[in-house]
Amino acid sequence: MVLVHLEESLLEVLKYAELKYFRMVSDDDLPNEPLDVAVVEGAVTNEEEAIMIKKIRRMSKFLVAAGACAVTGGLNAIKNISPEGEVESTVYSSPEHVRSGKAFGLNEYVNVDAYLYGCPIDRRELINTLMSLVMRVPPYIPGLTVCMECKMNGNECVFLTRGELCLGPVTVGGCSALCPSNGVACEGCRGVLKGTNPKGLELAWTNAEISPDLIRLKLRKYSDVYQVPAR
Amino acid sequence: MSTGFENPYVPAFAKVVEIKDENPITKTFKLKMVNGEALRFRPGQFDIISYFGVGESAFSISSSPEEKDVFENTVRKVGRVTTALFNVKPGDMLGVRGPYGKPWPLEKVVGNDLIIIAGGMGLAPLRPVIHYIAKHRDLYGAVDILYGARTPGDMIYTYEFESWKNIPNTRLYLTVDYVPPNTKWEHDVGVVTELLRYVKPRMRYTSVFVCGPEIMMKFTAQLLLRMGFFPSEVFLSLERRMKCGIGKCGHCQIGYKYVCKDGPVFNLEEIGLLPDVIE
Amino acid sequence: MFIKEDARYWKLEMSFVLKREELPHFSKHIVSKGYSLFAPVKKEGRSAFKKIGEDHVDEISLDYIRTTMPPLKALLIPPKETLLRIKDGRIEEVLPNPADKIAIMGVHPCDVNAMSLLERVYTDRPEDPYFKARRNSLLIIALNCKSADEYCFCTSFGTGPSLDEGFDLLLTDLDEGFLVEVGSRKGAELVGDFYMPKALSTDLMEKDETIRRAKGMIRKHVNTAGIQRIMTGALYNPIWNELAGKCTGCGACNMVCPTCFCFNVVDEIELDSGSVLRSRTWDGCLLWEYAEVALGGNFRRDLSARIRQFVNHKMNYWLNQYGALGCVGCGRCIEQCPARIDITNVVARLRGELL
Repeated sequence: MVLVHLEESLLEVLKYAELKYFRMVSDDDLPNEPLDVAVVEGAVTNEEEAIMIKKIRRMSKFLVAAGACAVTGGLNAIKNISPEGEVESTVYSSPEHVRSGKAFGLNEYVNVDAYLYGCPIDRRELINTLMSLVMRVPPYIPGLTVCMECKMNGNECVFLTRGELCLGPVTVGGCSALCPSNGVACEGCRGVLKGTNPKGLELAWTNAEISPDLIRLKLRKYSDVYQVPAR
Repeated sequence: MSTGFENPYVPAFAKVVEIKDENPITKTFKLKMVNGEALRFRPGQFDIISYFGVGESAFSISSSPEEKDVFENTVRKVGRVTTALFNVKPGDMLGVRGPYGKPWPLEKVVGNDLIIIAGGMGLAPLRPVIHYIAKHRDLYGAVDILYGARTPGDMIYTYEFESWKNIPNTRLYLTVDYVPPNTKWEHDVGVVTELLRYVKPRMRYTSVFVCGPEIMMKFTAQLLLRMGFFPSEVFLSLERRMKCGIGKCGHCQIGYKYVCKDGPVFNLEEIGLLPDVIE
Repeated sequence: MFIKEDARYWKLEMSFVLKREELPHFSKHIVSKGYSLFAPVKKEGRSAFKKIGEDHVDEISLDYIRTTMPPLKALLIPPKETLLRIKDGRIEEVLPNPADKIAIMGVHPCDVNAMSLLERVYTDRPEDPYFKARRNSLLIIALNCKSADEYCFCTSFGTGPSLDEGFDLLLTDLDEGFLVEVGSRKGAELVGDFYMPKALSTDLMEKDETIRRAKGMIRKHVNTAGIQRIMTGALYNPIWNELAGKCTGCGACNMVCPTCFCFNVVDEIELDSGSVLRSRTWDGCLLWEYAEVALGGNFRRDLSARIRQFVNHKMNYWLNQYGALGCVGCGRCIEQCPARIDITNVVARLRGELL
């Protein structure tokens, strides 16, 4: 939906590209012609979706996974560690209508060419990614941490000053440290940055006498931090 | 805006005058400065090319230093900037900064025999050396060029090999790791260091210039030292991430050396004790 | 003897006392001279440097030990700054306007000394015109420390708690108010038309006593004797692997370090104008990407190698590169490390002074 909120910027980008299909905006069917770029949001949670994403992959030259769900499975992936159906029955009144198994990012099923991290994705990163594709080069998102951006914004550390469990130290930056800059600990929605050490963070929290249950919960919120890094 | 300072981050414009396909993933770009000035460089130096909107990247200058009004960069498609360069057409404008870095010590090794060892793209910063020697042939003793690549199709500058062989007292040995079926290949198969068996060096009077993938340089350096070459006479050209080329951005540091200004050419004595030299 | 007394006399001539209640007026005076004024302001118990408007001079609070953000680095090399704007085949330098005068008040000695170190990097040839332009238009009103906390270790490098040079004006917090010492012509001009009584020799004695007290509060220490040989000898010490188990790899130390100068450069397209903006952003050696090259090659693949680079750069390589150690003992990297890694502790262990 960030794409819609781009408004005028989207129109600028569309000077260089033609929008063929936009599921959130119109109900048209997936077009049958090949696409240069497909930007796909959402996790894959059932077989139909898996077939759909494979179809999209086949018809598009460049596939962008946009948003936490498409990148790592996102918040949905919490249910991957509970028995099937348990999470659904806590959330929905009639869970028998829910057709959803384990939730995975797109790269569980297909090759993904580029990622747009976070929930929601960053507007500037979306524009940069689309413009890179217009220039026919691979997009680039700098590999720094949320923690670094937070420091650049001149914030005080929410963990060190208030003991809040912040995932900023190990999370892919690019969001301008939106949450900690507003006094809220980073939830890690952008996934783990390659080269950071979540074990070190777990140790730091353990040393701060945080309960192991709470630590596990925090580290798992947006998919397991010990999985393959998001970037 | 007039500043009173010269801004080292401002590239000059260069026009692409010719693009040569070296192999499917490598091209050589011939560039000419728009301001009409020559890019005065010495063999082994590098420049930083801008594709505006995508970014900058450092490349060895690969043409003959004798050529005054044009210069060349050989580019393999491996990342963002190089992908952008592959979309460039003759007549397009690029940005150029440089030349930067310490060149091969061609003055210092005058009178010596030279062994030039290159792997894959590593021939790019050595090509100016070969052209320089051809022009100033009497300054150096015997010259042996050992070049290895993954397959015959991965080699670059193949169109110049004949002329290199014709430089007096110069030999060119070629090898590849692998010859694909139905490919004509009359030279060696194996790693580039094996070509050293053809060379009968006079240790005390021989300097070695090496450039190639890290792993190749690592084994070559080890072998050369075991053969008895002086560490001060074995020179490597190193590759590092660079964002400025002028010793500010910090990325290219190895120990206390900056690859951009103390290198990219180092002898083994200089880098022997530094950490993180070879991956 | 004569010369020493002469210096003392000169020092008195150029020293004044600013009454505590006069500080807002003096700050207004600075702003009225056309300076953008930056000074520390307290918020929720922590101090940070802010731009001070004429109406907010009352908020300045010079009673602080350390800000998280290194103030001079943030002013001279902003975390993100546009270098060039490229449009229609023209390159425009986005240089700071030399007419924009900046004054910063209340910077502690460690930070002023850190700036001198940054100066060595950025004015080493070829000079960085962005740094240089800002440095030229910067007026520094430093502030000697009257207290220290458990993270300070400036005495190890002679970079605090007092300052001898590198300032335009130098303040010391005394009982009555602030001792104001003049360190440059720019500084003299600023106090020239603002009335302050001359300092007495007792004021200078009180200053010495204040600094002595501050020194006494410093608990941390790095033994720098022969430190290069020790650090180089410890390049392959198992300590780096051990630290890599604790370190989160977040790079906060890089950001808050007043001498960390690395940057990344990116091009972005400004959609409405169609121009390309080339900007630089603070970068850090703790990051994976920092030493990555084409095709996924990486010369500091292990976190242990990256921690080693950070510590050795400060405590070893700087000396070869710029003739001074790259640490000023401000304590920020220790205070801000989520993993509680302590660089003084690392050095002490490598020296065998601690287990």
